[in-house]
Amino acid sequence: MASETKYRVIGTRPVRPDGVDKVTGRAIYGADVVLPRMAHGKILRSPHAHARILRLDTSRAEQTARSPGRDDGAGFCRMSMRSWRLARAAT
Amino acid sequence: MTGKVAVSATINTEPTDWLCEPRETLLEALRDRLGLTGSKEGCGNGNCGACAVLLDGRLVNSCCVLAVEAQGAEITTVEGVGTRDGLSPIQQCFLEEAALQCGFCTPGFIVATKALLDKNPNPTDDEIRWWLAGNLCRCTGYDKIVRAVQNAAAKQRGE
Repeated sequence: MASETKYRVIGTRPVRPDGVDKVTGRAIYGADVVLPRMAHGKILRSPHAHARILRLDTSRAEQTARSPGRDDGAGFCRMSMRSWRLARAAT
Repeated sequence: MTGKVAVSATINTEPTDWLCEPRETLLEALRDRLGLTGSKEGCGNGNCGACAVLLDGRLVNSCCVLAVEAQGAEITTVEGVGTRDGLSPIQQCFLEEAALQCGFCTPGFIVATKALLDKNPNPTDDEIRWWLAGNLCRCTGYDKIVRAVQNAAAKQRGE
């Protein structure tokens, strides 16, 4: 003869609120975002599993194709979309 | 470097044409040229099925199809499942059975399920699992997905 506790959410089977977008392909994930003049990043990984980075030489990346990238000092080279397509094709 | 090629195809019942380089994959054309970002790149090598689309009714991994191969073809992507007015039974059942979490694999599963049910409206669990073996899911696991497919099949049979 315990009193019945009614929950608003527990024990229900709600349809998740982001579900419709996901099953229709409308949901926007990071890789789906396209913004005007956005920069593209390309990750270069070290071939050595355990090593210390002594120096980063970004000169070849900066020379890529028509719009040269610029090293912003953190080891990232900002490239145009065209350069990115070429870099992507090259790997 | 080769110039771009013009490709025309019917995508989700709409005649579509675009320019692309011969080396581009259908997935790249769909996502980057046509803005149809529903199909996802999960692996880039035909493994995970997140890029699955129907090409002339055939289930393919679009990351392994060259865009130029789509010339003259009929393509269905996840954006072509369901209508402007509502969700298809497959989509509805995926929602009701919680057959998705992050949702990244979901477009591929939806397209693959459509391919299955178009061919076999009354599949067994084993047939479902076999057919969907090319679609990987890391979040949900497969039980709920199989259940969703069974429910969708029943719905489409009018049960």
